[in-house]
Amino acid sequence: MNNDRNGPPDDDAIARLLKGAGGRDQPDAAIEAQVRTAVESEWRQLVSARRRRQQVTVWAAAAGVAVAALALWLAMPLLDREQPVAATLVQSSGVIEYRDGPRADWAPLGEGAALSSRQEVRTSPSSRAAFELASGPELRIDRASHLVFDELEVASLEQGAAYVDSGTAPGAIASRFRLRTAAGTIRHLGTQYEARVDANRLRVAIREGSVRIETPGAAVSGIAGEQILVDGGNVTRSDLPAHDPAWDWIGAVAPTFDIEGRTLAEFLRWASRETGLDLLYVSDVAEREAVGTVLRGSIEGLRPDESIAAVVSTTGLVVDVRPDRIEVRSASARP
Amino acid sequence: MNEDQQLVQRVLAGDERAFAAFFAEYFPRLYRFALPRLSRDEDLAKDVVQATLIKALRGLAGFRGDSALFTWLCQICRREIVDQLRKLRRRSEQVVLIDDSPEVRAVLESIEAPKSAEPTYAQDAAELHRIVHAVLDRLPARYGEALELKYIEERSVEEIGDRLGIGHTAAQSLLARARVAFRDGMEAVFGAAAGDVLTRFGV
Repeated sequence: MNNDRNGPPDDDAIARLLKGAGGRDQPDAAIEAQVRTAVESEWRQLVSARRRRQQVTVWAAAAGVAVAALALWLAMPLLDREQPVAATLVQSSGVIEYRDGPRADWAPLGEGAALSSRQEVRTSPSSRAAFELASGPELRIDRASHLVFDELEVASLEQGAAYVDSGTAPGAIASRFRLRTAAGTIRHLGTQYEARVDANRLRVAIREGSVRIETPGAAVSGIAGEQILVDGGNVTRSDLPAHDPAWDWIGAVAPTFDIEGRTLAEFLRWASRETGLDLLYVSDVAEREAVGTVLRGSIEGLRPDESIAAVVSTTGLVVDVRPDRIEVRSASARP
Repeated sequence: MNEDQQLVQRVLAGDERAFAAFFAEYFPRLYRFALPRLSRDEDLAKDVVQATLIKALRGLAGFRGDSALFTWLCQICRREIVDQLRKLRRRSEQVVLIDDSPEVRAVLESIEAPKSAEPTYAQDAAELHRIVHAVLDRLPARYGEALELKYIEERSVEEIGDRLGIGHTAAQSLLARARVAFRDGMEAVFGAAAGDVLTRFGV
């Protein structure tokens, strides 16, 4: 092959390469036909739903002046697509649906899609979703949940459960994101928390940091390791450790941590945060080794708890995952 | 708006020809992407590609053109492969291919802007052949088709033009551009020592 990038390609070398490799695999015609039928059917449904939405807009535009104001009001959720992005779907398992407002039809939402204020999202009894919020925090929603992005920094949990992680980046604590529920509004103070609603009952579990819950009657605060039940005028507290199995669903929809070029220490900090397990270096040597170990590859498809063993097995360190902590020691150290 | 974004907009608008072009261009390439990663299980590859295309269509409005459409589809396909294997409890059977390694993946995904002086990755002739196919799949569809017609089926330029529905001069021009793109793609993967690699593999 000609290595002069400005010169003509070596025809003979290309011929030898391509002949040696042979033709590319071609899918069986029957397989292609089956897939095409299924995919085309889905495409037609999507186009049809999209056209129905557009027809509403056209109708609104064609109405008289008097009706136009009303039509514009009706069509506001559609026009909201032009509003700033409130959240982006970064990870999902199963079908996630969104709609442009309470009068609109639900439509599937794909990873990478952005939602703006007043758009709504819901999960099925078998799906979960993780969003990056434009205001900073990360938000995950559990199965059978329904959430409305009211404003850039406010969302309403109508049903199910949501988990908010304000992150550890500079400025994360300053985020003013609020989660509304029928029983009260939750403000985070640099934290990881879960809010779960059931009719008018609200349960808030705090994994890290603290939160403030503003109910119609009063305001209550909660700190890490607590869960607070707000039921009518009653507020009750109980303990919920950060590594309790109740948090397990969070890991099932955790966005993948890109380990390529990151240090083992960074990965372990992420895994500790995701699993709620404390990170303990048994010695300074172990910590220095973790800081100096650069990772390669990918953990895509693995849950945070599954990824710990997979990653550490490629390093010179030994990690024991205990019920409440991740212990890291140098391979040369005695357990 | 680039060609991928135009195609996406036309598919979203319900253009029948755009959908046909989208399916014809990406179904075979995704199938070839999935098949070797699923131990060449054709039924599983069919399910994975079908799920990939359906998910892609549902999320097509979110495609911003930051990467090539095929690269975006491959990302969805990778997740489908992992999900399918997890459902089947066949994680241990997952096939990790040479082009799944971050370095090769990055190079293949940037073939439109090739790098030079990349290290050599392939370990044997079978991997070399797979990389040749992967590079062909990353080129514009007509480039790969023209190269296969010319060098594997040994068609004349006139026959290639007839097959692709273009004139003789256009076919010649297309072949010239395809050869340059293929050479650049291979050199992006193998670096400046491509000649040495060919010699090593006895090509």
